[in-house]
Amino acid sequence: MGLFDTVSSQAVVAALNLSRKAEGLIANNLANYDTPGYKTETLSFQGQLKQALSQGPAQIAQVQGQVAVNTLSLQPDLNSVSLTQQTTDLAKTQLLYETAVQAFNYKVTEVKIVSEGQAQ
Amino acid sequence: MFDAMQITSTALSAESVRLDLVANNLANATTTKTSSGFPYQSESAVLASLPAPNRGADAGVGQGVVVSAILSSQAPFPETYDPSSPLANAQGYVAEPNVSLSAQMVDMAEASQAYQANANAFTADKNMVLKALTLGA
Repeated sequence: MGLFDTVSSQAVVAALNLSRKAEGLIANNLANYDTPGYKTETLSFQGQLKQALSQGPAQIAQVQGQVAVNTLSLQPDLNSVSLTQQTTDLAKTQLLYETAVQAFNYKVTEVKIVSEGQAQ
Repeated sequence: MFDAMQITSTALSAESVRLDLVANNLANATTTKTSSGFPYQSESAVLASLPAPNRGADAGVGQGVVVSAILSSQAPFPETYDPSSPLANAQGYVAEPNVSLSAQMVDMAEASQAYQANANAFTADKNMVLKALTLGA
């Protein structure tokens, strides 16, 4: 068993990967803000990740998240992108990513302290 | 790895094409005769989304937007009464370009808003990549 094969480390790595993918979808939604007929796509993974937490590291690594398509159109050209919603999601995703980076760095610090055999 | 930035840059290009068209339309808002013999026709961009690949790291994520066509407006040319103009018809009317000033201003505001939103998305993604470089530090 590797040093980072624990539930918490795997959860952090999954959060990093999935929020990066969510960011890609948001970028594409914003890019298609003026494309007639385009429908907003959102990645949700929190539910799946939470479920996998109780099942062990291997299951956590397999969480892919689910892409939901919002077909509710706000504009006459049948485009469903809301600028406010996407900007909010962008900020949320960024915060989640930064939190995950911080959590990963805490894990690394833990391992460092143990491997050096002394408190820092 | 830099896919979100790539997606965003397609949008920045597309939105700046829209802004270019608005600028050209406004510049030609009073061009009553072009090389075709008719008044200037207002032009607008048609945007289309780029499809998501089925496999690879970007699977399921659409790849942005592209200007698929630039269309000339088929709206009728408004006419003004000016019998002294050399372009006036038998009844004394001159055909004017079908550029709608209000529509152009709305289009310009919308395009620059979308440009700004995508520029923000670019910065957000750049910050994520920079943050990733601090992993394990």
